[in-house]
Amino acid sequence: MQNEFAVQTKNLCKAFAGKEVIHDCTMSVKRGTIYGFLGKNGAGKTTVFKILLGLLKPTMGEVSVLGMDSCKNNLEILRRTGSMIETPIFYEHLSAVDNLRLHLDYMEVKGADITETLKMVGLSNVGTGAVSTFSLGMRGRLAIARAIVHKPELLILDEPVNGLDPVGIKEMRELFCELVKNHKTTILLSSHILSEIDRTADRIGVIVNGNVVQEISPQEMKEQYPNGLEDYFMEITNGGTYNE
Amino acid sequence: MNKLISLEWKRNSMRSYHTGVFISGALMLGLLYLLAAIPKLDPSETDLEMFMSYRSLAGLTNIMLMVIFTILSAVMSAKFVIEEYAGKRAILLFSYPVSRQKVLSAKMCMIFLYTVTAMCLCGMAIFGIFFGTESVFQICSDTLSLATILYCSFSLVCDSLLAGVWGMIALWIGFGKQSVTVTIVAAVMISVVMCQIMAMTLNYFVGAVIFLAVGSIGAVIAWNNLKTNIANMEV
Repeated sequence: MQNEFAVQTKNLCKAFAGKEVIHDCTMSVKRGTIYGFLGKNGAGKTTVFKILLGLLKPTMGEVSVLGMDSCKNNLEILRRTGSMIETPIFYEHLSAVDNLRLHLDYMEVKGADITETLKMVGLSNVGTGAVSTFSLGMRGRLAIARAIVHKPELLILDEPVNGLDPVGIKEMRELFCELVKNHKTTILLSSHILSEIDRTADRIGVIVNGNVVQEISPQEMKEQYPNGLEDYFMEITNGGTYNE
Repeated sequence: MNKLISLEWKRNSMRSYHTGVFISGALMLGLLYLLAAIPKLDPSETDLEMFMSYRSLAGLTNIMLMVIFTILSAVMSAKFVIEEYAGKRAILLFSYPVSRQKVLSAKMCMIFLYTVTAMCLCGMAIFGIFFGTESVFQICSDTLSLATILYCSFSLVCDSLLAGVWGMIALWIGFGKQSVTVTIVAAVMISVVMCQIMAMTLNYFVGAVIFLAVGSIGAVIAWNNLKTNIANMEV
C-alpha cells in the first residue's frame, strides 16, 4: 500500500561543526497537497530541503521521502523529485530549451514536452537566446520549468517566486494548484511572501530555530487567528509550542 | 559512462580550449623552426649540437608541449571540477539521479582524453608541417628517417599521456584546497620539475615508461581519493 505521506521526518537533527541547526524536527507532508514551509531567515528551511534531497546527511533521526529512506534511496528519490534550492544555477551559454534538454538527459527521461513546459511557466517566447541574457524573473520561471519538466511526483521549491513580478507570482500560484489538481503532484514550498502561502497551501508548517513548532491547516489557522497568517506567523516565531 | 562524457562535453563550452590548443600549436611550431635554425643563425657557436638532430628537437618540443598541456589540463580541471564542486553548481550536479562518482569519473575522463588527444593532434600537426617543409627546404642538418619519425611519435604519445596524468595529480592537489589557483600552480610546478628530470634522463624510452608507471599510480590514487571525497560531500 502506498504511504499516504510524500515526506515524513521524525526527530531529525543536523549539526554543523558540533552546532545543531536542525533539532528534533518532525514534519509530514501528505501526498497530493501543497505544504507551505514558513520560517525566519536562518530558521533551517533550506537545510531541511537539502536533507530531503540527500544533499546533506542527517546527524540523527528518520527521513522518508516518497516512502523511501533519503540516504539509502537517494538516486531513486531524485529521479522522482523536482527541486529548486537557493539561487538557481544554469548553463549560461545554453538556451532555455537546451538547459531543459540537458536536464532531461541527466534525469533519463524521454519524450517530455519542453515547449509545453516553457509555455506553462510563461517562457514560450524566449527563442534560442542564451540564459545569460535572462532577467531575474525569467531565471526564476526557468528554474520552475526545470523542476517540473520531468513530471515529478514531489516538488521541493525553496522560495520559488523570488524575483517574480505580481503577474508571475499569480501565474506560478495557478500552476502549482494545477499541478496538484491534475497531476497529483505533492508540493513542498517555502516562501517569505505569507499571502502566497496563505492562498496556495493545504497545510502550513512553521520552523523556528531548526524545529517545526507547528503544522496547521489554513482553516484551523484562520479560526485561531482571524487577522490572518501574518499574526499567526509573528506569534509562532516569537515562542510557539513544539510539534508532537 | 560514454553518455555522461558526452553530456559533460555538451554542457561545457569548449571553444576557448580549442583556441588555446591552436595558439599553442602555432607558437610551438614557430619555436621549433627557431630552434632548428639556431645553428645556422650563429655558426660560430660550438655548443649547439642538441639543435642539430631531429630527435633532440622533437624531444625538446614534446617536453615543452607536455608543460603547456599539463597546464591546460589543470585549467580545465579548475573550471569543470573545482569550480563546480566548490560553488553553488554542486547543488545542481547532486540533484541529478546519477551516481556522484560516475559524474566525477566522466569529468576526469573527458579532461584526460581531451588533453591527450589535443596534444597528440597538435604534435602531429607540428611535426607533420615541420618534417614536410624539411623534406623540401632543409634547415636541420640531420637526416630524416623512419626511425626518427617513430621516435618522435613514441615520445609524443608518452608525453601526451604524461600531460594527462600530471594534470590529474594537479587537480587532486587543488581539490584538497578547493582552489583554482592551487590547481594551476600545482600543474606548473609538477610539469616544470618533471620536465627538468625528464630532460636529464639518459635513456628516454626507459625513463618514459618509469614516469608513466609512477604517474599512473599517482593518478589512480588521486582518482579514488577524489571519488571518496565527492561521495561524502555535503552542499
